[in-house]
Formats: sequence, structure tokens, C-alpha cells
Amino acid sequence: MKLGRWFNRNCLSDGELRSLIDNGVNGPPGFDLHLRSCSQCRERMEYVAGNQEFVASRLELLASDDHRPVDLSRAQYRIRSRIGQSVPMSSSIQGESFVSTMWKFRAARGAVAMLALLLLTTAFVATPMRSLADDLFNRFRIEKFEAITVNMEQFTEFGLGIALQAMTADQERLMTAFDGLAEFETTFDKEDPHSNATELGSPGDAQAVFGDFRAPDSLPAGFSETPRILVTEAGSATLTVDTAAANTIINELGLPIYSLPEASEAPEMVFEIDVSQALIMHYEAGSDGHIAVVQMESPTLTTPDSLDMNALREDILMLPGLPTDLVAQLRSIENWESTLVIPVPEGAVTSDVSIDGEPGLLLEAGEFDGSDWGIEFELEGDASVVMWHDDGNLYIVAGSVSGSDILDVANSLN
Amino acid sequence: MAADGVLLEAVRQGDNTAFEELFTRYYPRVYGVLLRVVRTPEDAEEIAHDVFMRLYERPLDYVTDGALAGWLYRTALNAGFNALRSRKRRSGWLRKAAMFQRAEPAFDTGPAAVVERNEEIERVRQALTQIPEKQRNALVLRSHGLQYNEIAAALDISSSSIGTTLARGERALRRQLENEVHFS
Repeated sequence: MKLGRWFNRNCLSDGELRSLIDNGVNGPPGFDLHLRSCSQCRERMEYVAGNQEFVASRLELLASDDHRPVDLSRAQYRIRSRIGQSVPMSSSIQGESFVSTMWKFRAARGAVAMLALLLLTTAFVATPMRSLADDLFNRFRIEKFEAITVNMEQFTEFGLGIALQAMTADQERLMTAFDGLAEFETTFDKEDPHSNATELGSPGDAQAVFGDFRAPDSLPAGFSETPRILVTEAGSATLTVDTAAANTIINELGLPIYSLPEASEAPEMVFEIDVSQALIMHYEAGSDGHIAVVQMESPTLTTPDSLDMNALREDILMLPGLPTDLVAQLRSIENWESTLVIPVPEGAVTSDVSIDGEPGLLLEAGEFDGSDWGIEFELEGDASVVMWHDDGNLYIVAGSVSGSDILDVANSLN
Repeated sequence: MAADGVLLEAVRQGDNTAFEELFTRYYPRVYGVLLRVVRTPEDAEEIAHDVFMRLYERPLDYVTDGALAGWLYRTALNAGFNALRSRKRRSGWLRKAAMFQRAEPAFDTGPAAVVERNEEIERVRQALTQIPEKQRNALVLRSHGLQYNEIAAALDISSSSIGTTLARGERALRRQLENEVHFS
């Protein structure tokens, strides 16, 4: 075409011809006459118009079949919640579950994994547990439980923000980093957790294997007074995180986390949790009534020396888009050095209780629909669990009974 | 009606009402364009929201007439096509499965026609990801009914260049669709 224009300044370029098609005018003065006499321009016009028609017919396919009008009020509602304006959150929003929404994009799988890691880390970091007597500041113990309520709608928005970052990141680099992020090892049998437990024949056998333990003096009506007794083996689990991969993910996702060490300083970060023997007493009432009493020494978490857990905690709490009420809940935890944070869905009833003078946490879930959390699990009827710490030991009493019944059992332990 | 620049300045000062006014003004257009790029209304909605959140967190410093709409269109299209590209890698086996399905005898032409149409839509979307960004965005915006000056603002080029960009884009897309190796 350029050659043609060089020979004849009345010839139009492909771009000009294309504009004529859209604008539906005859072109510059004299162009109609020129077109009749210039075979080059006629050919180019047919070629450009042919391409335009071909492409228009294909792009027309992309026009959505969904002709519903834009639901602007719903969109406004969602954007308000994302920018943190106070709006009444209700179940009227027809959102998909967090997991199913995130799973739509390949890269978002990585983001979900990262998010899960962040949540776990948040639990650890918001669990700056008290250092042990040996003054190792990177060893922590659980001594207290605290529930935080997670609004899944808001948490979904946070997750999608990360998913969007993941979509705009270098996909191959990101996925390679996720593939090499961490290795998990455990002394427990991951395939068959029950293989770690040994059933004992009597309380005497239990004392011989486990040592002193507490048993309930009273049980709700209908429960057998003779429990099945099981002892699980002590063990440990280790998560080894590749520092370079973790830093790559943080950079690719644009997360403002600065507390991780450089890979040159610490190629790996090793997190280890040591769990002692646990004694489980299982009481039954018919086929549907269950109460379990679990006791064990408080597990110990060891974090890498190279990682400043206080700084990491601050980084995570400052993540943009993290729901403000979640941050407020985490920040309000006193004695965070010794508290295990337990995320619970909205609607679950949690209460601070006292068990034999020790502070405990009671969770009651009359009904639970796991679909809000992206899991296939539903609970109907009473279910409750209470957990507390006393003199270096953790106690958990759980069962298919009401909260007051479970508290009665817990308070009768001696 | 307040100008975009005035509202953006208010957003920078922390005025969420101003942000909501901008959102109300532009969300339907951004969402509508994204519907052409991504597969479902849910995807379009999510990406559109993320685009506006990016604007909220980093409001543009200075905008002339049409510049904000242009930025929103450009950002949305790039995010939408990035999502498409990442999905292409993941869905290779799905596309092959669709090919097998098509090869089977079709006793009921209804479902087969739907499959074929969906496959053609997917081909067009993936072909768009293979041509230069400006040409691709120009084609989508034009097919969505935008005028040359609006497309120019979105592409950050002069209106007089739009004809050329469209002509090149149409030539490239046609070649891509006619020459592509199916399901390779």
C-alpha cells in the first residue's frame, strides 16, 4: 500500500480505508472517483472490508448470551464491603464459596495454597506463645485458646485480591516457586492416623502407659461409665520452607512482607511441632451419643532462628485487604505469646468459660454448613467442645451433647 | 455531574462517596466489556471489582476527558486476557476432551451444535490472546460499540491511528484463526 501511495497520493492507507468502513462516509473529496479508476485501492478496500466482516462475525460470538441487566446495587454492595465501609452484611449475597471461586483460575490454586499458609502462619504468629524456661525465644507452647470469627464474604474478597495478583504474575515462575515451596515430614502415619493409637484394656493399663490422668466423675444420662481408652504415640511434624521460593512468591504476588530472611542468609526455614502422647477416653450412649475426653502435654512449636516472628506477625496484620474486623480481633488478643487462635465461622457460638478455675474456650455448633468454608460437611443437632490448659497439659472435651452438658463433664474431671 | 478528575482528587482525600460515584458511572461498561473476554458473568464481575479496587488503592494522578474510562478498559482487558492465558494452559486436556466428544456420532444435533459454538468461542478468545495487545483491545472495544475517540483513550494513542490498529488487528486475528493448529 505504501508503494501505491508513493505512486499516487490519492490512494488511501489500509487504516484510512478501515476508518471509512466504520464511519460510513465517502472519504476525502474525489476519493469516489479515484476508487473507480484505481484497481489497487479497490483491491485493498475489498481486502480490508473482508477482514473486517470476517472478524466482526467471530467477535459477535463473544457477545454474552446472558442478557440480564447489570445488578448494580449488588455490585455497589460488594465494592463497599471491599473498601471497608460499614454495610450490613447479610446472607442475601449469592456468592460462590471461597474455594470454588478461587479454583477457577490455575494460578489461583497457588494463591489458595499461599493463603492457607498465611492463615496458618497467622495462627502461629498471632500465637506468639510464651517462651519456655530454657529461654529459647523460638520455642512456643499453647497455653490458651481464643476464637476469632471469620466472615467468609470478606475473606473471599481478600483472597480474590491475591488471586488477581496471581493472575498478573509470571505464571511459570510462580508455579515453580509453589512446587518447591515446602516439604512436610511427620513421624505420624499420614495414611492411617488410627495406627498411631493403641487401645488399652483398663484404667490401670492406661496409668501404666500414660501416667496420671483425669477422668470424669459424672456423665450425662444414658452414657456408659466404662470408656474405651486409647493412647496415641508421641510424634513430631516438620515443615521445611525453601526461603528463595517463599520470597519469589511474595514478590510475584506483590505482598508487602519484608520479615523473611534472604535465601543467602537462611536457605531453609524449619518449623517443627512436637506432640506428646495423648490419652483419649471415649464414652458412648447408644449409636449416636459420643463424648471424648482428650488430655496431653501442651505441644511445642519451634520456629526458625532466622525468622523474626514478631515482625512476620506485623507484616501479616498489615496486609492490604485483610478484613479489618479480623485484624482487630487478632490485635485484641492479650498474651498472644501463649494463645492458639481458632478460626470459627460466623454463626458458631463461642464463649469464654472457666474450668476448675482455668480459662477455657467453649464452641457450640447446633448446625454447621461446611459449604461456606468450601468443604462438604454438614452438622445437625448438638455438638460442642471445650478446651483449656492446666499446669502444662491441654484438655479437650467434645461430644454430641449441649454446651452445658459438656461443661459439666469438663468440670467433673479429677 | 462532577468531572472524573474532581472525583479522583476526592478519592485521594479518602472520600469513599466519590469513589462510589465513579464506580456507579463506569462499572457497567467495564463489566460489559469483560463479559466478552472471560467465560462467565461471575469471572467478569470478579475481575471488574478488582480493577476498581486497584483504582481505589492507587487513584490516577491526573486525568483528561476520557482518560479514566480508557484506563479502566485497558486494565480490565489486560486482566481478563491474562486470566484467559492462564486458563489455556490448564484447560488443554479439556479442549482435547471436547474434540473427542465432537468426533462421536451426533444423534442429537442440539447439544453438538452448542459444543461446536462454545468451541468456536474458545478459539476466538484464545486467538485474541495471540495478537498484539493494542490490536486485541481495539478489536474488543470496537465490537463492544465504542467510538474511535473512546478506543483511542483506552489505548493511549491518537484517534487517527485507530483505523490502522483495527485493520492490522483484523488481519492478524484472521490469520491466527485460519492458520492455527487445532488443539495442539
